Amino acid sequence: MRPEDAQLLEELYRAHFHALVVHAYRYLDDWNEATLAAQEAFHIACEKIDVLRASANPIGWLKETTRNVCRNLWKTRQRQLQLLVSLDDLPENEQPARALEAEADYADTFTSVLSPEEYRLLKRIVLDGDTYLELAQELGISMWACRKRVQRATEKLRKRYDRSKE
Amino acid sequence: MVRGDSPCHTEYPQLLRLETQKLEELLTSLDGTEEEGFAEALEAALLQRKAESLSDIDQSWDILQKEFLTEEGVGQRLFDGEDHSHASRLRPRWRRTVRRALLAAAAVLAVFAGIIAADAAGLELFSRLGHWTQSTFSFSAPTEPVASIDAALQETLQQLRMDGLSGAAFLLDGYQLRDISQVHSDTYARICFFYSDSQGNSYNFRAAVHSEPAQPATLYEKDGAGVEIYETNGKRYYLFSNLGRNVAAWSDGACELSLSGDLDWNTIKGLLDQLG
Repeated sequence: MRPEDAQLLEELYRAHFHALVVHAYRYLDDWNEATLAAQEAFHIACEKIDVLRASANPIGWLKETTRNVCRNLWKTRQRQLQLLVSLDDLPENEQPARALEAEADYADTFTSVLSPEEYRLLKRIVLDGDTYLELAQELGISMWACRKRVQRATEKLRKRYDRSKE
Repeated sequence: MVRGDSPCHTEYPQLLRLETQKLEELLTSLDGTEEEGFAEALEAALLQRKAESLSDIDQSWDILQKEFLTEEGVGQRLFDGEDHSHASRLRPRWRRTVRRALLAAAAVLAVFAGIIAADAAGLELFSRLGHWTQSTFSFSAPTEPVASIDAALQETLQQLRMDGLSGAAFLLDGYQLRDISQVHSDTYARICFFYSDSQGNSYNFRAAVHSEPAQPATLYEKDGAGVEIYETNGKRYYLFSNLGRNVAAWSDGACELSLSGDLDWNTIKGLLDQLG
């Protein structure tokens, strides 16, 4: 990034980051997720710095980007949640074999598809509402690595679900 | 930092007297139909209140550098989807179930121009007239105070067969009722049913009542395009769009009602026709 772009980004960040967190909170009702969404908006701004610089209203641009991050966050969570719920709703004979116990819960159902760590990651993100950043810091991995692991786990579940519907 | 000329200081100073939790409740209870200036004032008031408890800006900047702006993150997005889209407006309050919030008496006062000359012949006498400008729409204020906002809201919901909270009267094939939100104060009550499908399309039905005469319950934002008046079954509906979402608004006297979302006009009119 050019020095002048880096300077613009930092100035905007220091002046408006908290305002964007509050803006994201309006849509997410969660301060941790709102903070993450505002960070992601600046991540996008960094990659689209030329668009941001050319914008007549950089603050408006950042706000709109934040809104779209919020929308994408919510849609991603909904898709993951629907996948979990859909799998849990499968008829008993279509569920993974280890889920037959009456007391079976999500963990029992999904650990035949996922490794225990994958299940734990997905549960923390989808059901417990933790953020990638929180989880990554806890696990000592990068946020992007954490995101990839969750993505992989989701994909496994999706394939399992698709197979069960064939 | 919130400046002294921000809207929470100049236009809605009463917001600064609310507790932080009330500000949070109010902000997250907005459903996108309020005046944007009010939303901005709320955000500014909350920002001022939370300034000290939000994350340290130096630490946040450091996290951005170390976690987001890394080689691994180049070209990546934390959540799938477009960075920018003008296709639809976000609807706040996605995830919460019923929540009570203090209503800002602030609910917005504006000067309306363009009052339509209404011909009420053949229409219900209790309907109130719609008023609109280039960017807002509202109903004329009720002339009589509402004796009981709860009773008025309940009566309206019963007439629409929505009192069982199943939301069935407005449920379209392929959609599910996702959320019901309620806002209640001494002078205002509102209930909103949120529907969505598996593709992320959504719409909502909302009913609101204000007990004070001369105070409209809702100020709707709208695009610059005009307002279509649609009459069916002796009722008058006002149709307009706002940021890509279509809105039908009507009044049954005490209550103001609306249906809005990612629905085309034929679908909306079909639903209105069924109301009888």
